[in-house]
Order: sequence, then structure tokens, then C-alpha cells
Amino acid sequence: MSKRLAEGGLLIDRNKPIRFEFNGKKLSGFEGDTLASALLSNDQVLVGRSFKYHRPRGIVSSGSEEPNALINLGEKEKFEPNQRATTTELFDGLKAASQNHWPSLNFDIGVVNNYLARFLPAGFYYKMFIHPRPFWKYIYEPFIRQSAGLGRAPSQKDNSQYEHFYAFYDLVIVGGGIAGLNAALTAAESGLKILIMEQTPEWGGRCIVDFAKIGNETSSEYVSRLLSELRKFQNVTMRSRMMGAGIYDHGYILGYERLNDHLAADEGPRHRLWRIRAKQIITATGSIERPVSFPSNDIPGVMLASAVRDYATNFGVATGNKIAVYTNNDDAYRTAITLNEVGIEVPVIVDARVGGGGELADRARALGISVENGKAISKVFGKKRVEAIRICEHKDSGKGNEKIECDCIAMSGGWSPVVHLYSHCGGKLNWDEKLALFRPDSSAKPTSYDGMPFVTAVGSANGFLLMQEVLKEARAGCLDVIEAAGGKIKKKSFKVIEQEYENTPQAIWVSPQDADIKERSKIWLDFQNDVKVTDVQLAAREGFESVEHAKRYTTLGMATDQGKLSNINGLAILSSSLGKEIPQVGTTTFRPPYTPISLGSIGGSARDELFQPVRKTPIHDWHENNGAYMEPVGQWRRPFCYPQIGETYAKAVDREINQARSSLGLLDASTLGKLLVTGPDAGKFLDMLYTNMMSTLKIGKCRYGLMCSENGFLIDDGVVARIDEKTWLCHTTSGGADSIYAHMEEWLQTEWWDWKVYVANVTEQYAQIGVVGPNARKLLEKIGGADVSREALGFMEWKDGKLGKYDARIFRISFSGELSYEIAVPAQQGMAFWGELIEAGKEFQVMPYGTEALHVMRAEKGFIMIGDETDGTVIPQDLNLNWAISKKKDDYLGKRAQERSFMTNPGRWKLVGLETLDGSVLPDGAYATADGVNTNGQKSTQGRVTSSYFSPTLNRGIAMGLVINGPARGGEIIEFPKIDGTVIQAKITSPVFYDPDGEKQNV
Amino acid sequence: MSDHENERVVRSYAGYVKVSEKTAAGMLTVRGDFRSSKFKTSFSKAVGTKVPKEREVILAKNNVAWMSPDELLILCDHADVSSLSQNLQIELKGQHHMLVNVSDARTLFEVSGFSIREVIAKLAPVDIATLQIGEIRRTRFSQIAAAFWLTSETSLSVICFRSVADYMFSLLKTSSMPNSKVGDF
Repeated sequence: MSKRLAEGGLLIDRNKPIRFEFNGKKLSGFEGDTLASALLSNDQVLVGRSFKYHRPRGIVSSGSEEPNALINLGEKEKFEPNQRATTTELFDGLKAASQNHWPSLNFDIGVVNNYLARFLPAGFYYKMFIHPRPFWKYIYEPFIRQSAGLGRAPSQKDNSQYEHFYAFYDLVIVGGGIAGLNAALTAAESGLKILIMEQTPEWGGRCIVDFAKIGNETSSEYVSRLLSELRKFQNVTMRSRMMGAGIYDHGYILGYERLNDHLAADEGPRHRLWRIRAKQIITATGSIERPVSFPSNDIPGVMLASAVRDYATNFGVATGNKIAVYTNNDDAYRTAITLNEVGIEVPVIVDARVGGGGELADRARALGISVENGKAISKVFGKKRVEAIRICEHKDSGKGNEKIECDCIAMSGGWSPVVHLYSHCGGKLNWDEKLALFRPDSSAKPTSYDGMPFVTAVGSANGFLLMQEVLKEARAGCLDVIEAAGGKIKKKSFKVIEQEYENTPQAIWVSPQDADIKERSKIWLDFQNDVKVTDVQLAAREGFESVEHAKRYTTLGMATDQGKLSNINGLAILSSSLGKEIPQVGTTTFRPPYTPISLGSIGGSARDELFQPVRKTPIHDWHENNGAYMEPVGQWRRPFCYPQIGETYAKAVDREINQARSSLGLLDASTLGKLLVTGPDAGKFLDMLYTNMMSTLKIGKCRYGLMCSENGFLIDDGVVARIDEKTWLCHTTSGGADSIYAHMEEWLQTEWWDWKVYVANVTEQYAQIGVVGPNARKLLEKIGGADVSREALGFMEWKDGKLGKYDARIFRISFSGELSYEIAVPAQQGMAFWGELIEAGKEFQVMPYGTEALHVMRAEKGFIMIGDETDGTVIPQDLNLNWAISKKKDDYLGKRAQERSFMTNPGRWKLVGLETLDGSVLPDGAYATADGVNTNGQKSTQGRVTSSYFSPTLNRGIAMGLVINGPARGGEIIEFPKIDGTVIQAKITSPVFYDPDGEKQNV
Repeated sequence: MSDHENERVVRSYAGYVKVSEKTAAGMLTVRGDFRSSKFKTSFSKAVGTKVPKEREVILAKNNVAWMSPDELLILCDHADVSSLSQNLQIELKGQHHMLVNVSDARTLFEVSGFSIREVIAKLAPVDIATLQIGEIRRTRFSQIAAAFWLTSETSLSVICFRSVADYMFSLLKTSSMPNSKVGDF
């Protein structure tokens, strides 16, 4: 059993007990524990079930590489699935539950898959669920979805806060072990601005557990000294509980800081995502121990050797009563020695190497521990817990068989440098045959915008596994980096630190070496996704030669741990199955983030009211307070309509239209784009931008204009007013203000840079209000001020003046077909002016109207709307707008394109009105069918609906549409099939349904 | 801008820095040819300060901010807008230029306290540690366009479009919540 030792534990405070719950069971640990160490101290080795076969899973590691100990953490609004027990710091009241089992962790129905394992090989899903075809959609997929996913999805909204932080450094060092700390200390003297981050709460990495002494100091003293020296430097920022999540182009690196996860309640933001630009990056990310591939290596109690000694040294936890060590290298002997020191029995050290270990092995033997060289584990007894092992000769499983009692196996298959961050941005790796590991290729580091390297790995992340090498390399290896970051440093001679002599490891990818298929099908590579040696071998046999294909076919390394433990073992099996060398097969791509980061941190503060900016007109609050039903228009919110109590939206729209047509309506048109264009060449410039003439417009007059892209397609329209000799005010669509402003600047800056024109976007300077209806003039005259009579201000004219106490620019323009004024006042006067119009308009039963009434009224008049009648493929000629295209001008943007044969083709779809024979409303976007079928065998079409509304004015459905050669086909009846199978017949008419002579707007 | 007394505070929030939204600031956009000595002379005559250098804000009675290679922003009392604009019109007569009153198009915020730099660093992708007093940055604050400049070590001004003032206030408020201090500056 696993248990807390009577004494010891560097990281825990035995005077501070902490209570927590696991699967509803009340347990206790100590301050400083991780959830994993606390569970182990309570003999809770079984912590979850695997994904595919639901096999029992125990804690394997002590860090972020953990594949098994994934838990549902927290409750309700703090609930989060797939949290690693090994990196979850224990706090009072923590509640955790294991995943992927039903009805309970101990008794899981899904384990039936385990007994079907021989029917569920790699690629099973691909092969099984392809036939019969319809089964996928209706049977297979719903069933598979049911059983997919490890943790539960949260049921409540996360109530924690998150934030981003932009930071800039000369040098960022990822990893706070002795390599990172030494690199930081070396660089600190150069005066560079440095950030060093460490993903755990503790600095020093593996050093304190692995080495009693470094030079003349204890390893704890050594780390404390480095830290206190570093803290003296003002130019060094140190952050713990912060993980380097990803490295991207041009020195961009993400730091994931967990501020509150170790606390019982949030204090400020939970996570902070650091978005960092660094001139140079050092990855001192250490290395991860590899499992050994032996039969039944997935039974709870089989752990990494380094983790077993971590739990003993850091947390005072014995992961078993009798712990066997299985290794191919010298480092695992440290585990045996540590266990022996704290009084845990080590029945055997199984060393795959015939020659065995070096000095550490001698020391283990001297402590009386039995060491078996050239041996392997060929069987593990036990189901939910290791009970015993059988050992044999590594090269001949028939020989040297012996059963040894133990309840935990500390395995070590060698170490893999953590090259993830180094590789994110293109760093290349070399296979080191001697140490059996991939290490960064110092001649092919990731390069930045200038082609120069910007990421450098040091220490064991760079493939230096011996402590004395790490120390030397961490300091020497960063000298070039410091220089590249702009720092100067004096080269110093470094004191060489002595360490035990270690024998080289021996790569063992399958043990025992002659394991037969029955045994190989029990050797797990990926514990979380249940990928075994036989699965990878099957993939190779079936032709999945690329490591990327084999990965996807077998799902090796595709679990939430991203194959941190399984990757190298898996590709070694793949390469040997293919008869290739490991470097020929290569690794799969390392992608950020290093370990999963919270979605909350990615969103940062962008949630609730900050989810997206909402642009508000000066009258926005009034709309909301008066019951407006708002709709998004770009980032603006505009009233769709103002429903009264008991009124549907449709009824409200009808009422608003009837009111505007019969008496008086008000429209908040503030969102309309307003671009001021001025300069000696402004007229020439606008003649190029608009299809019609703007230079000839007289001061005080307005003209409707169309704007096209250089490909001839209509991009915007609006009324242009001539302000003075050199100045025009161009109104754009609400959504087009920013893009048309950018369009103008682009032409001015890149093509016509010598034209004397300035443009300013003054959209937000003004509140603009449409005063619409037969009583519009009466209302303005009641308020008093500027003369707005027919004689003083004719249709398509504008003037500046006072209206009441407001500074107004009054435009006599109409988008509704009624007598109408659009009045712009400075934005800060907007709300008061609106209020006065509402108040003074009461005698005319004034009502505000929304965007839908606006749309219907313009459609009744046959006015086009950018985005309805246009979709980026429509030219003005398609909309019969030839009257707004100047024939006198030599050129305008789009002119040449509009002369191309396709654009002048008489068969183009052109704008018409559509009147349904039964008066109903055509579905928006419906297609008119034609005889015959197209090349895809679909029914041919001859037109489509672009705008369709119920017109309360005409009391029937009206629509506009684009129809082949439409204007010449007046009176013809065409058919629009609906999705319910019925057909609507509609007559082609003029698009102007209301007041075709424009008498109403011109009174 | 704090020396303009008639600036009202629309709303404010005191977290670990203080955030206030101001109203009634006067703002004038001036575009012209900064390389022309004639323009420079006319401008200083009309406004009383010289044309700022690239990314400079001249902190004076009327703050003048460099906005782009041919655009300046004058910040003044709302009441002074028309007289300033008249002066400029007279002085710049005959020169190609643009003069626009944008007082109502933009909103001005002030942020003050000891940790103002890091509050901005939560929102804008700017190397704020190296930002000098009187240096303007046009950038984005989270998802909106903004410009800001330090007026002292413990105060800075931010401008954004009026339509997103609510969003800007919430951003600055959220970033300066107690307990969210980063401690990096």
C-alpha cells in the first residue's frame, strides 16, 4: 500500500493538515502536498480509468507529463475537467472526482471493452463504422459521441476572472531548475531585461531531490543561494507557477500564470496569460523520464522511478511497501538509494544492461539491495494494483525466471529532453544514439524575422543529463544568446563540479526483447488512450509509414498529455517495425500549448460586457429605456423596432411605417458613415471614387453616389454634400464607414499620393436624426430657427443653422420616399435634441422607427441596400443604376472592369420588383427556377430574391430580386419553390412600388 | 489636461489605479505638411506651441499630439475650440490643410496612480516600460482603437471613440481591480 512516512517531506508542513474530498470520500493531506501526493498518502493509487478499455489507472508521474491522474476538479461554477492531480496543489476544501467510469471508479461497466480488446485494434473505428454508410449518422456517431470524452463538461458558467498581460523582455528563460537559474544569473550581470518563469511553485527543478550536495553546499543551500543572488538584480523578473505555453514567430512567447489555483477562493484573476515579445528565449525545460515497455506496465503501482523518489523526498510518501526498480540507466538507482534511506524495502533492482550501472549501482549494492543485471520484467501480477513481478533474462525470457513480491514498480526507460518549446517554432532535433534521446540540433535552432536563431535550449533540455554538464552548459550555452539579445558579458571560467560516474544507458524498446505477440499486446505505450506495442506494429504493417499517420491511426500521443511519456517509445517501435532508424522516422510535430491551458485565460477579460465592444449612438440609452428591440449592425446596436406592450415585432414595424407615412416618424441615423474630404484635388478624387460626377456638385447641394471596387463591383452608396469650395461630406453605409475611410486613404497613400486631399472620419462627431413624414416640416418649424421651407431648403439641399438651441446641419434627403430631413447635431447635443423632437412631436403622434421600418420603406420605394441587393458580385448596371454612372468621365474606379465582356453580357441578372400573385411574402434569398438542369444535375435557376418584406402601405408582400434580363420581362410570371415543397408565383414588376413619381418627398 | 478646470468627470473608478472619464474636452484634428516651414510657423502662431515630433505630445495649455506623419490632434478647453480653429484658419489660409472639430467624436480618460503602466499593459500590446512622458502611442486597447500618452510618472491620458466609451471604461476598470496587480513594473 502507499502511505505517508513517519517523517520527511521537504515541501510539506506536517503542522498544517488540509482536508479534501475524492469521490466523496473525506481525506486529509498537508500543506505543500499536490493532490497526487495527498491521494497516495491515503493509499488511493487507483485514480481513473483509461479512455478506450476503461482499464484501471494509477498515478504514474509527479509532474505535468502525467497521463493517468486526470480528475474532475471543483464544483458548479468552479468545475473543471481533466485536471492533473500531479500539478494540482492541495487546498482546504478541495473536491475532486475521478473520470471515465460508470457506475464507480472501482467497478466500471465500461471495462467490458477491455475484454473485447482483441476485437478493438488500432483503426477499429475506421474499419468498423464505415459500413453500411447510413449507420454512421444515425447509429454509430451518436453512440460513439456518448462514450467520447474523458471528463464531464462544466454545467455552469465559470465565474473566475482572467486577464492578459503584454510584456517585453530582452531575454526570457523558461524553466527554473538549476539550468535556468544559472543561465539567468549569467545573463543578469549583462543588464538585459530578463524574465525567468517556472511552472511549479518551487524553484530548483529536480536538483534537490536528485543530489544531496552540489560542490560544498547541500543542494537546498545551493538553490537558495542562486535565488537570493538573482533577486538582487532589478533587471530580472522571476515568476513561479507560470508555464511557458508556446513559442511563436518573431520572439512571441506565451506564459500561462496560475495565480489562484492553489487557493481555496479566488483572489483577483485566476489565470493570467502573458503575451511576451522576447529578443531571445532560453528553454531550460529539463527532461522527462520515459516508461519501460514491459507486459502489463499499465497496472496501478507502476510508476516512473523519478516520481517514486519525488514522492518520498518531497512529500514523505511511500508509493508502496516493497518497491522494485526497473531501469536501463544509472539514474534510477537514486530511487533505490533514496527509498532505502527512508526505510522502504527495495526487493530488487532489475537492470536491463548486462554490464549494469556505475558508481550509483555500487552504492546500492553496498546498501544491501539486490541488483539483477541483464534482466527484464516479463509479467506483473495483480489487476488494480501490482502484487508481484516475474523477472527473466532480457534477451531470453525462458531463462532466469523468478517471481518477486512487490506492490510498486519504479521504472526508468531513460530520459527525454523537453524539446517541445524549442520545437514549436521550427527547432530541429538530432537523435543521440548513445543516450537514446532526441536533443536540439544547435545548428538548426528556430529562427526569427532576421534569419537569426532566437530559441536556445540549455541543460538537460539540450540533452545534457549529468548535473556537472548541466551546470557548465547552462552558463556557457547562454553566452551567445546574451550577446544576440544585446548584452555584453565577460567570459568566466566555471568551477567544475564533481559527480558520480554513470554508465551509459541502453535503449530497450520492448522487454523482454523476445516478448511474443501475446505479451506485446499487454505492453502499453499510451496509458491514457490505450495504445499498445501491437497497435503501432499493426499500423506499420498496414502501411502507415509516416509517424504522423501512425499517430492518428493508433491515437498514440493524441490524449490530453500529448504523448509526453509515450511519444519516443512509440516511434521507436514504429521505426523498428518499418526496419528504419529512429531519426529516419522522426518525431511528430510539437504544438503549443505545452500542457493544456484554460479557455478562460485565452479569452482573458473578453467576457460579459467586455466580450465584444458595443458601439453606442448618443441616443442608445434612450432606445433601451424605451423598450427598443435592438439588433447588431456591425458593432453598433440599432433599434430594430420599438414594440409596445402586447405587440409583436412585425406589428410594431407596421405601426411605425404607417405612422411615418401618415404623419411623423423619427430615426436615429447616427451610425451613418460621415467622411469629410477636403483639398484642392478633392473634386478630382471624388470623381474617381464615385461612378458619377461629384466635382460639379454645387455648394449647398446633395447628390446620391455609388462607389465601386476596381473590379467594378458596387461596394458602397450614399449622399454626398458639397460643403465649400474644397470640401465634400460623403455619407457611407453604417457598416461601411471604416472600410470606405480606409479605401480612400489607401488610394491617397498608394496611388494618388501627390493629390492634395485630406480625409477625416467624422462619423462619431455627430448625432444624426431622420425626421420623416408629411408633418416633418411642421415639427421643425415648431422648434424654430433655420428656414426649412420648400423654397429655402429644396429637396437634395443642405444648410447649417440653429434649430431651437441646437447647432444643426440640415439635409433635405429622403430614404423613405416621404418629406424628410436628416439633421446632424454635435454628438453631445444629440440626446437633448432627440428628446426635444419627441416632446414637440407629440401633437403629430411622433414615433421613433427602427431599422426594419427603414428597410421596408426604402424597399417600397425601390431603393437598393448595400448587402441586400449587392453581394460583392453585383455591378451598378445590374441594379439599373446607369443614371448614376457618368458617361462623360474618362475614368473612375471600376469603369474599366464594367466594360469587360462578362459585365456587359445581356444575360446578367438584373434588378426587378416581384409581386406575389397571392400577396404573400417571398422567402428572402429564394431562387426562381428555370427549365432544365445545370451540369450538376440541379434545377436551373433564373433569378433570386434580394429583399422581401410585408408592405403595410400596400398591404401585401413586396420583393426585389435579380432576374436574368429582368427589366425586359415585365409582367412575366416566374416561380419560386419554397423549402416546404410548395411554389410561389410572382410577377415581374418595376422595383418602385410606392409613389413612383417622387411627389411625396418633394413637397 | 488636468489643469483644465471645467472638465467634468462623467464617471470614475478607484481600483489600484484611479480611472476617470472626462467630458467636454475640446479636440481639433489638423492635417497638413509638417515638412513645410510655412506650415510649422503658421501652426505655432495659431496654437502657441510648435509642431510635435514623431510620437510626441507637447504638454502645454493646449496639448498637441502627433497622430500620424500628417495629422495632429489639439486638446484644449471645449470653449476654446472655435477661437483656436479661427486662428488656425487665418494662419493656414492658402495652404493645403484640413481642420476638423472632433471634440464630440472622442472621449478622454485619465488614469492615475503608481501602477498605471501595468494596467495599460493588460490591454495594449505596447512596450510600455520604455514609454517616455509626453510620448503618444496609437494602438488598440483589447478590441478597440485608442491612443494614450503619459502626462507624468503617475498619470496618463487615453482617448477613444465616443461610441465605445462604455467599453473603454469597463476595460480600464477591470484591469485595475484590486488583487489583480501584476507587480512587473
